[in-house]
Amino acid sequence: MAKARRRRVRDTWKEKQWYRIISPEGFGEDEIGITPSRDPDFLVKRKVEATMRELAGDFSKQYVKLKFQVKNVVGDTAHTKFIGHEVTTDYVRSMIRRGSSRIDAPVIVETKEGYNIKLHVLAITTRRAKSSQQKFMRETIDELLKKIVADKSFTELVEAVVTGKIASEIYHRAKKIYPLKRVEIIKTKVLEEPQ
Amino acid sequence: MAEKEKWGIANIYSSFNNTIITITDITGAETITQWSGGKVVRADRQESSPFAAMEAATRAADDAREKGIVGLHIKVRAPGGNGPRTPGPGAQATIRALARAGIRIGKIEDVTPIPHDGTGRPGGKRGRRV
Repeated sequence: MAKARRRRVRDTWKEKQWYRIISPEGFGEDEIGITPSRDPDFLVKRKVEATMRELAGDFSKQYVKLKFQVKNVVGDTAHTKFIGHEVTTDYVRSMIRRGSSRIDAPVIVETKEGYNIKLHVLAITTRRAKSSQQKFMRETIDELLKKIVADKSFTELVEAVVTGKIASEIYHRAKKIYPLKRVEIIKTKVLEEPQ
Repeated sequence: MAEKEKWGIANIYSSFNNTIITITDITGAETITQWSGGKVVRADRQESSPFAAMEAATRAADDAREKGIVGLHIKVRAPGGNGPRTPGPGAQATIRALARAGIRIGKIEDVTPIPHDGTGRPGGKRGRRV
């Protein structure tokens, strides 16, 4: 029985064609990789992950993973859109130490064009912060982010998030509340797009 | 990356009971081959052994190479959830065997699912009593 099953798999494999996956405009429209498929329709909604090292050649940011989703296929190329990013778990874990507080602040923001994006900010203090300070910190991060994002377009925002510009801006503002060691945006997710 | 090089992802699930290697394309939607420790050894208790993992990995590598895969990114996974979060004995052996089989290794990542709170771990308050 096993043999019969394997033969069927081989057959479909030969029918499959390889399609090139291209990163979105904001990321240089480079080839991320190739994927096989029997029908170009099956490609839509597939997700790919790529690190900053692969896309921008930036070795200091190889812990950032960007997620893309295929939106349409033209010929043998699949075009993608940005659906979020994530920082690898081992990098997040290396930042967190004993004796300091970890402050998580998930904020939902809206860009100029009407994209709803969830940004997950992680702030790490030098010493243990009181819960009232942590609460105040979360509130300021929330306010600050909404203010920063309000006049930014989607591509500008994504670029600023991925390169760490927003994180450093938050760091400089929020360290007045309590001395901070690190601020990083560890996750983003596109919740809603304008039609 | 050069144009015609085909890369894939090796999803390695390594528990204390078995090691499962699934090689997929870069999106994870198309499975290229699937091998497990249980496919190469007879005894149930050897399914998770490094030897079984090695054997399964070399065969998976052969299948992948036959289909034109040059290199693999690796995603290692332990059971996670409320179970153990460290990969079992087969994980390291698998990566080694893949590398020895002449497949290029890209990034290696731990993708163990970590709950953000959920159901409790089995065993109860006083632990597992044997």
